[in-house]
Amino acid sequence: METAAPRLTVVSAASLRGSKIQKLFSTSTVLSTKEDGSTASTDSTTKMASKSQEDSAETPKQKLLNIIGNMKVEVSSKKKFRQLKTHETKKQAMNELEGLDSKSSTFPKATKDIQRGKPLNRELVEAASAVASSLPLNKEQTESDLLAQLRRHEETTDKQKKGGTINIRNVISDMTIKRESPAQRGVRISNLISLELEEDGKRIKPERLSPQSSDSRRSLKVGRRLNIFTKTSPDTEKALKTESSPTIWDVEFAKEIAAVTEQPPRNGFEEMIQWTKEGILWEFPIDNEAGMEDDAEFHEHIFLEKHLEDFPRQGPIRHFMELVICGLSKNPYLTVKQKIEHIEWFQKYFEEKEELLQEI
Amino acid sequence: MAARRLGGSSWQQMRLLSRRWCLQAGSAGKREQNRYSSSSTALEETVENSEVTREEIVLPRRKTWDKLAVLQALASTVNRDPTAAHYMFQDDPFLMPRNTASSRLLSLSKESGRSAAKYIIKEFPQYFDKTIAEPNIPCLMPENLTPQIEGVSEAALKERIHLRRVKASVDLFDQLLQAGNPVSLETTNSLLDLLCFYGDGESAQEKQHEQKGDLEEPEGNASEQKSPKRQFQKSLNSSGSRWRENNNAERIFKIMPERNAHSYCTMIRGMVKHGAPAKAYDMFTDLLNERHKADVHTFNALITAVPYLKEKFAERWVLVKDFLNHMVQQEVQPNVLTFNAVLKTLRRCGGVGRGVSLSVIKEMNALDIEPSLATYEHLLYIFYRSAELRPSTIITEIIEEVEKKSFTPQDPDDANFFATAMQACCDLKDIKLAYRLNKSMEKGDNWKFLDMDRLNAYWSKFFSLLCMMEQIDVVLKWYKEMTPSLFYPSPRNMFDLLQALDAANHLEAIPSVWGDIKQLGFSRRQDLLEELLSLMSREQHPEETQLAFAKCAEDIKAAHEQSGRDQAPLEWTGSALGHVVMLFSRAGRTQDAWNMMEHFQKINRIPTDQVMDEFLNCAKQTNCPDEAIKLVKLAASFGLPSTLKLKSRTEQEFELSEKQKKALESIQSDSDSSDSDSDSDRD
Repeated sequence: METAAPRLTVVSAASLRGSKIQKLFSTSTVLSTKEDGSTASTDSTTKMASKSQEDSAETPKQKLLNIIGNMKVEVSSKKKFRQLKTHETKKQAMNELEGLDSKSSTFPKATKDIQRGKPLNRELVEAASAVASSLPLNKEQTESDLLAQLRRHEETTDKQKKGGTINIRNVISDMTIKRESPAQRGVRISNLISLELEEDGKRIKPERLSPQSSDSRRSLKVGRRLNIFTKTSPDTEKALKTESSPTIWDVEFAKEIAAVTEQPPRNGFEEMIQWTKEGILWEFPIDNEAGMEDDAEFHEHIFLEKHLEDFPRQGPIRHFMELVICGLSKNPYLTVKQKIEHIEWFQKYFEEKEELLQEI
Repeated sequence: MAARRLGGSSWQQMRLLSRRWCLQAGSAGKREQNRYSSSSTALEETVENSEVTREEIVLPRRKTWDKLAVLQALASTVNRDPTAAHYMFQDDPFLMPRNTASSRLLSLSKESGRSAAKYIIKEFPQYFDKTIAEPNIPCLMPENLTPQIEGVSEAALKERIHLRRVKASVDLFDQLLQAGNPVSLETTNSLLDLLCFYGDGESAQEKQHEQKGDLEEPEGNASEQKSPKRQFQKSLNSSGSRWRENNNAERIFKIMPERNAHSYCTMIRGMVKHGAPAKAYDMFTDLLNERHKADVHTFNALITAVPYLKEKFAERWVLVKDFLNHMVQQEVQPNVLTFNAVLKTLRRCGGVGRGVSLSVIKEMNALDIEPSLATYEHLLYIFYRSAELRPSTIITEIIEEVEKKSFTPQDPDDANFFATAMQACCDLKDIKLAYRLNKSMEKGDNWKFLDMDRLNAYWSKFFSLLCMMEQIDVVLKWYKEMTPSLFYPSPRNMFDLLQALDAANHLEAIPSVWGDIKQLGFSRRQDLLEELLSLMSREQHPEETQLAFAKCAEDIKAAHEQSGRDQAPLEWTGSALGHVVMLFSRAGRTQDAWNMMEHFQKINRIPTDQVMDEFLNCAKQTNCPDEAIKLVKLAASFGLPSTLKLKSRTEQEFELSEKQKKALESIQSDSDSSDSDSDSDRD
């Protein structure tokens, strides 16, 4: 664990210099410590470490639980913290100062940290304020920045000593930033940051360190949704859907959609299918009813005797009518309705002439 | 009706008959229905006699076959012939395309021929007045596009709108207004629809004229549904149909006495479609101020316009969320197109898009909206198009999802999915994933999502991946299977294939690959030729292979020498010449090799020592001292330092006649005089 400490510092220092936004820095520190903790620790805090690694799944609830759990550890680790060799941390802190000097962005959480206040070594605080006053920048700001930075490293060291306790402060500070930054900066920036923090910041940075955890987070199924819409019951959906007749937009969109899967035929049969759809080809199976528009069937066209019931059973009229239906049944050009009308016409005619006929 | 006509006379007979009927029709019908599910059985009322109804025999009055069932069954028996080109190209062997470009050209010319015919029919309907077919085939006859209703009335306006006569409708509308006849809101709205859809200005007729010269559509498909698609694409792309200030749509919109939500919506959609997103946004604000509700299509259009409204990625996302929240407020249910539009916008939002897109998918899941292929395509684009590719699991999950079902088109962007996914597989160099993707592409009707261009892109990516990752046997098997029936390899693909052959130490297959390269018309691609020659000449091969290689070299030589109709002959490069000489030499074709040697002088290049050594070896084997002397002469004329070495080799290794010896001596003096310093240096 002793060997791990400097490496950690390097990582965080590098990311501090490199990162434009402070939040990214803090996230990356969290993750790097996490990694160290899980790989090296064998003592009683292993549970803690692994728990906080699950933290990467990160529902807010879990996060909170983790923080609460880690709080306890922090309390018990206070004793150890006191035993820290201060000059060692000081060295680290001085290293860090260079990184800080070049940075002008604000550290909103630093002041917060001080208010929350875990006592830092007095010498350190003094040294920090001395450095801050020597800088041309806002003195208070710089000082608090430095202190925040120191605190982080003390905690890191502390953790290393304990053998893999999790740097809970960072988890908390990470959260406070998310909450606070919108208030402090404009809406535009806040969105940018929170988005990068929530999604990108965590992905881009940690991916290099631990691709496993980030992969498991990026999934089509688990994770947060937008929570903008609420599901409606199918009834209301239907009610909404029944609208007026399709507009030109609807018609054209339907055509466009149909065109997506419309591919040239792959063989002769497919070509025939296409022709059939267009109405160029005879429809299969081919029968005698192609092109007949009325919905009648063949027997209605051919067997017309049933329409002769009202005619006399025998005699010349019957004979005549039988000839008529014989002719009609062979006529392909008339519809069934026309044929029946034809027969009815004769029926009427003979009824009108009945008197006349009887005279004969 | 069979049962009734049989009457009560012979019940037994009828029952037997009907039962048999039922069995046959039922079983056959069911089988067919399962397969095609489009055939329908018209079930009539059961025979009303009590005796029969007791047995509950349902007598189908008539079996209506789906008109396509027979053809579909037949079509399903035909498999792809891997050695043949696509069916579309099969009518004339002379025209059979050999590569992507010519296949594209052929399908385009076919299509344009069809549209030319259609144009003639539409333009001169008076010459097509004879109904020859009985029954009539309406789709072959000219459509009646002239308005039937004369005079100035709302009915006439409606008809013109229906016939999509943009200009005539606008004129009629103005006339109606001038005459003081108010036009109903509904009709005005449909006029606005028409104007907004076509972006005003151009009439539908004029557009059709333009289509004739339009070669954007790669598919050789004559169906009428194509033309509107083209119009759509065209109007999206071209700047010609841009939304103009105070066009007819805006003018009519302004003078409308009352406007409803539909009027606003159609204006917004038209503005977005014709490239006036800022105006559309203003219109949306107006709509909100008037307390109207927009429909889902309008929101979709607005969301797609977001990248043109805002510059910064984060601002874009804020605006998208803003629109979505408006949808919630107005109780508009989103559809799959809404989310596709959101994702499409997120494609252009960089890191923000990567971050948010997954929660969009989850929102879809939560609302039980099935993603379409376009949804997945946007996701793939968002995650795998960036410079650094991460082996994340998203593509695996997407392919898992896609494997589960067969898709129906829901979004015009659906078509891009398979090509994009294959591209991602190729970038990730994940052959297993590519196989899975390919399998799901071949499943059901999914293949239909790939049109000719995308098909080529898809297969060419897949093939490159195969060349990179697979055993050479597998690669060659796929190669045989895929070309030319599925796609025409690109030069890049052939390059990959050559490298795969090289990696697998399978160079003896090069002559056949060269044959394919010639077939594909790539024999003038310098990079391919160089690669081919350097692979062939790199090592000494067995006799047989060398002979085959020499034949290839001869082909390549021919390719350099012949000049096409309007192509300049291919320039020789020094290395290519050297390779060809070596190939000829190794095959013992001294004369050919010497002819190539002479080319060096023509193009002012210097052969390498290796080339000259090989040539000398060849001359020795075939016992041609004359050629050896010529070589020394050549080297001397270039003033090469190796001249002396070659000369001494010639002297030692060949049996030279007196005359030849003299000739050799004279070379010495020549080179001495021209190149004395270098020679003296060496001595």
